[in-house]
Amino acid sequence: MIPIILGVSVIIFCILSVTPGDPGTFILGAGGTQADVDELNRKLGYDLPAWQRYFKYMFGALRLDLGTSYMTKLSVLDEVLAKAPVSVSVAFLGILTSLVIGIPLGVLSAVKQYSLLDAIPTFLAIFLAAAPSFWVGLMLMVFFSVKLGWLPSQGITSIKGYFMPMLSLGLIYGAQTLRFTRSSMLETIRQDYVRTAKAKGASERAVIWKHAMQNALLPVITVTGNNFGALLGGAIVTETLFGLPGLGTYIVAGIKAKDIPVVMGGTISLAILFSIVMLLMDLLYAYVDPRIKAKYAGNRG
Amino acid sequence: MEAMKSYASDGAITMKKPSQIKEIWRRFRKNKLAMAGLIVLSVMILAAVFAEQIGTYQSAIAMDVKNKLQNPSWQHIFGTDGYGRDLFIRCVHGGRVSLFIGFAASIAGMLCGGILGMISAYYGNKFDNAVMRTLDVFSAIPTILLALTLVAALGQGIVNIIVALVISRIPAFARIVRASTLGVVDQDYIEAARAGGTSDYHIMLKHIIPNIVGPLIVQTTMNVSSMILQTASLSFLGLGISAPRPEWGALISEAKEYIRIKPFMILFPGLCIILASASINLLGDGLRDALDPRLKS
Repeated sequence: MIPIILGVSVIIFCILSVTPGDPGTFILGAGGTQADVDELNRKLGYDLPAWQRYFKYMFGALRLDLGTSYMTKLSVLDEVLAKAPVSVSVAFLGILTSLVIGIPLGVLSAVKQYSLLDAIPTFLAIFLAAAPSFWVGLMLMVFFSVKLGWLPSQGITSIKGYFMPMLSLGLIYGAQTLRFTRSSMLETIRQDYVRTAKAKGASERAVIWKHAMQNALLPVITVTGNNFGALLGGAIVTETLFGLPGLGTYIVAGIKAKDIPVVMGGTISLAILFSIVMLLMDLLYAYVDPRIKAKYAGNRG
Repeated sequence: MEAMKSYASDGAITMKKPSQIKEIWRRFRKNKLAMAGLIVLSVMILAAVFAEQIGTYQSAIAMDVKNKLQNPSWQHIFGTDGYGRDLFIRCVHGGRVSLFIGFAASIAGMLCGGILGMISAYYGNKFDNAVMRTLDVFSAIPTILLALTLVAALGQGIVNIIVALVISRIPAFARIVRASTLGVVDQDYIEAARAGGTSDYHIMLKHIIPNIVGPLIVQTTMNVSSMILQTASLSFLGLGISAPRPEWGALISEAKEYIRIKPFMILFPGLCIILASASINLLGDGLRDALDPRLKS
């Protein structure tokens, strides 16, 4: 995990270093004279060569000092700690919604293959999988904010603000979950042990939900884990659209203003969150897949 | 095992024997959804190629404030935007940019990532390890974020966006190709070629590539649609194609301003993206089933 985070910091720092422009010019705008700009850059420590700035930054980061934003002068660590919970909860709610939408519909369309109950969800999944996330969000906005006036289109001043981001992420990732659940379920219900369960007289419901589900859901868990990781950063677009104060909007603003401490701090925190999620997913997978448990038990013994 | 081997050698002939391609086409044609995807995509590509004949680029960017914000009518089937420009013509010209970026970035990403993944799997050991660890690092950065910082560094513009998308997509392609190369590199026929003194370069070109090309074509096709979506997202975040050049994502973000009065302005470019990327996905699904009938679900 630590080498990955170090690697991420090097890559992002390198890209930022070759990005044209300097913070002094950005802050002072067109009005600043060259002398003012140079003076400001010196104060920000931007006059040093890139590799020196990198090491200075990383030694600071070791002591949990992520520096201060060039633009706002606020501590990056404080900002990140305030914004990360928003991103994590939006990603979590989105994934949860996607599971609630995707798994039942996926199982249903697999069990009723080739019927209308299969065709409609599959068609919707094809449609949503092809739609840009911000377009889906905008359509929800047209419906819930403009036509019905039920929900605020921007910000999360009340709990209502979470609804549309949650739903738009849930719909898009739900489409994916549906497709995976469907194909995995189709494969499972043709297995011999499912036929055995049916033959011994277990009810259709018990066969589907108890015997088949357990195995069919394993690949879905993997996909969900990857999606959750991707969503932490991938929700940038959704965060921007709904004006959520999360890590995504923070980093995008930083990139546009070449605010290096902001982008570095934000990206490193994202990479840390991403690694933690991946670790948790591995643990969860080992917990739900008896084969993995058995393998480790065998190794120990 | 026996079946797999005979399939693998069939795959090797795919590139040479027209009868194989005919066979694939016969299987592909049976898939109605995939055929629909192929037809819709072909129409959209034709519209993009002949965009200039449908409405000149000049008319797609020239402002005509008198006719601004008109509802869809026979004269302007998608209506007009805030500067009085015909939205249909802008969508057609937007398709030119979006589809070009999608295909170019996908093919270039496949070539760069594919070569890296294949060489890495073929030589294995330390080199493979180094490549894979580096790719792990890249994968910990969300693709859109990597593309965003790269576009900020390189500057906006079609070529720079393609470069940024290619770099952010290399890890995924390298991984896929590495995995499928690892599946063939231990096969007896590779061993035989090596024993016969065939050069590494020749083995990769003549014996490995033909055996992994099927799934790779499918991945590249599917990838076109995610590249189109990524380009649209970049434009939406303000670091994509810059005005006045139309691009599907940029058209949606321009229309966002008028969400309260003219929501249809958001609808049409969005439907263009969905139509294009859904057709590409269906086409990819169909190709996968046609190339490898065993995988058919």
